[in-house]
Amino acid sequence: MLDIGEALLKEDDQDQYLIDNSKLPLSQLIPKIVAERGRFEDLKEDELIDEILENHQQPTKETTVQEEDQEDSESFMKKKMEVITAVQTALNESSLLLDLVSLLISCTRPAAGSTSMSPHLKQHAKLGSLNCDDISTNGEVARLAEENKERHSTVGLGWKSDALDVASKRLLSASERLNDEVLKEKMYWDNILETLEANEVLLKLNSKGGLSNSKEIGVKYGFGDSGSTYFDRGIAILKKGRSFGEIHFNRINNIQVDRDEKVVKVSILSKVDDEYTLTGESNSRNYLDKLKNFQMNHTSIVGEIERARFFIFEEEFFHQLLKEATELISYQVQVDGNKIVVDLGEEIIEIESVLAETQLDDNQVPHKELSHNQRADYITIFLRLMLCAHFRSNLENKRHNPTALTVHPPGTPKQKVQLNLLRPLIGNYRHNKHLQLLKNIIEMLIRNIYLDDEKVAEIMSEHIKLTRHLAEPKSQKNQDPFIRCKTPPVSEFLLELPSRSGAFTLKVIITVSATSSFCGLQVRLRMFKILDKDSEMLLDVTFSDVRDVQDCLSWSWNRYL
Amino acid sequence: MSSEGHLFYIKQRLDSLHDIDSKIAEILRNLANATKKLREGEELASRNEDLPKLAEIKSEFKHYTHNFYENLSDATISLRKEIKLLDNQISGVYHLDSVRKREQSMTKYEHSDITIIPININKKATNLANNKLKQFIKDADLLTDDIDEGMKD
Repeated sequence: MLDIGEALLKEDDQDQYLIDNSKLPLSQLIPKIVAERGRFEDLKEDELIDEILENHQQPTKETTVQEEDQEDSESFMKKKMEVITAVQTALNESSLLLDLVSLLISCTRPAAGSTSMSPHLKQHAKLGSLNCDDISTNGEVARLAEENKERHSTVGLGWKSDALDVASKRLLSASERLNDEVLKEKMYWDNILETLEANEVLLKLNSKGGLSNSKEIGVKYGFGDSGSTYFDRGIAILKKGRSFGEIHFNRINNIQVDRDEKVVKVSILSKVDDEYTLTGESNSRNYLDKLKNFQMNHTSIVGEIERARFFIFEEEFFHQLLKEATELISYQVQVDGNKIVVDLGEEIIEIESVLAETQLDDNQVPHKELSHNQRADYITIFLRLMLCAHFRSNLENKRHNPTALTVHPPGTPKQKVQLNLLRPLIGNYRHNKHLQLLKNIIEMLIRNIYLDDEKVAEIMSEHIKLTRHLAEPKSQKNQDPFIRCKTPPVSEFLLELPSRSGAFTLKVIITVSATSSFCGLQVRLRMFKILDKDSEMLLDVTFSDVRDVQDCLSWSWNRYL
Repeated sequence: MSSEGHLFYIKQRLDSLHDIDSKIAEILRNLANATKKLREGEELASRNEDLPKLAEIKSEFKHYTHNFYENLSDATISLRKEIKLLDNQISGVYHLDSVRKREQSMTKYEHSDITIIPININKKATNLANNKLKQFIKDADLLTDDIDEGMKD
């Protein structure tokens, strides 16, 4: 330490970095002079003299200072010694203090204490031999500390109460939020329970689309399970509303079709003076009003399901009618856009699907009173009943006992139930017309043969018997009420005509039946000659046209009677 | 298992689950109230004044904490009960307890019946077409009634 001080003092005497101009070589000196003073041309003798004079004065000053320094050197050395002793005492005291602190620390942390302890102390004192205690300070210091403590504690209390406040508020808001959720949940499940109580079939569904791929509850509102073969099986999701937990009825469609609410309407056009005029219209408002009433009397979700069910039935109903109508083109059934036109000769039945709203709009215009309104209603009901019956037979068809796989190779096609909606209607209509026609022909022929009005009347009333609905198996009648509509109609005329001579009777059986497609005609004519109790078959022919039957009858009767 | 009893059972379960839900919400509200009272109490206690009010707050705090614990235990217990019922329906454990309970509660529903099976079965809505059929028959009946009346006139 002492050496460093002396070295510093020496350095003050001479600056080693100061450049001495006289030692520089001439090549460096000249550019330096030029840089300092400018060009040599501008140098003037007077100025240079002045400058030199100035330079000479300065060294004289320095020499005086140095002289003074030398005078004070004695006192300086004295001061220096003083500084050195002061530094030494400071060093000594600090090392003593370090030893004390180290010894104190060594109580609790022996390792840290021993490293900073001087070797002398280590020899003479044991580690941890010194201990200390708090010293209570009195007076001013203690009072200040007390005040500080109080202030800190009040701040802490404030923080604490603030935190409690916030916690309480958060908990309260969480509880309120939860309460809302609970109410929503309650509402949703109440609605679900209502649908269940309304005997709807619920099922689990995987909700597709949207962010969540969650399970949802679905409802089967359509007829997919009860025999319908329509592409839309009628399944809807019961979604929970976000805001109130109310239930939403969302239909699932495989195909995106715009769903208009449509009803099937039947109108009858009759031929009057070679022109067809509207004589009957089915009343579809009846159904819509009923639907409205239902929705009024039931909760929204049950009403909505019922509404969807009504319209999906109507939709499928018309779809099936259209499908059947395209197959019946050879029997004067035409499909014209969204309309099925059934031409029955004197009458035309038009079946169309109309928007439900337009039907309700008729509020102002009351349902027109037409002569055939009731018949139109009957036709709609009949067609609808037939669709229901079709569903039922479809379902029954599925209800077979499972067959062993080994017996029947898999993939044997099941017999499909033929859809019969329009066919029975048209078939029976035509059948009745044919019967009437045949009856007229028979009467005319009999008139031609007997020529006697009384006799004709007697024969017509007593010897002609018409038996209808022969195709229905009697035993099944109790089982299936639709059997009459499902089987093609068969009727039979039984005639017992006495010959003109009265010697024998001619038994004629005319069986009128429809083909399996309901609409074709098949007439089987059998004729027996009955003499006493022997019968001899004369004829057994089958026709497919009424006119041929007429020809045959007139020929045979002319011959045999 | 009657369908009515089944519905009643479902309704019971739904109600009970709703109770648990509301109890959980209640727990939070009790906790919120308790902390609020705690804060008020602390404030009064630090000022060391209005001692009767402090006592009142203390009793309120006690009331809320009591409710909190009561709701908590109620919710857990009833949740456990629901889980047990669910479990019974999966495994069909026939408990003497459940029989006794059934006799007590007078419900027709068998609490230990297996009603949940580990496979997914979808109920078929097979009766819908039949219902529709019946409805149409009724409609047709109405129409024919009209005729009968018309004929009488």
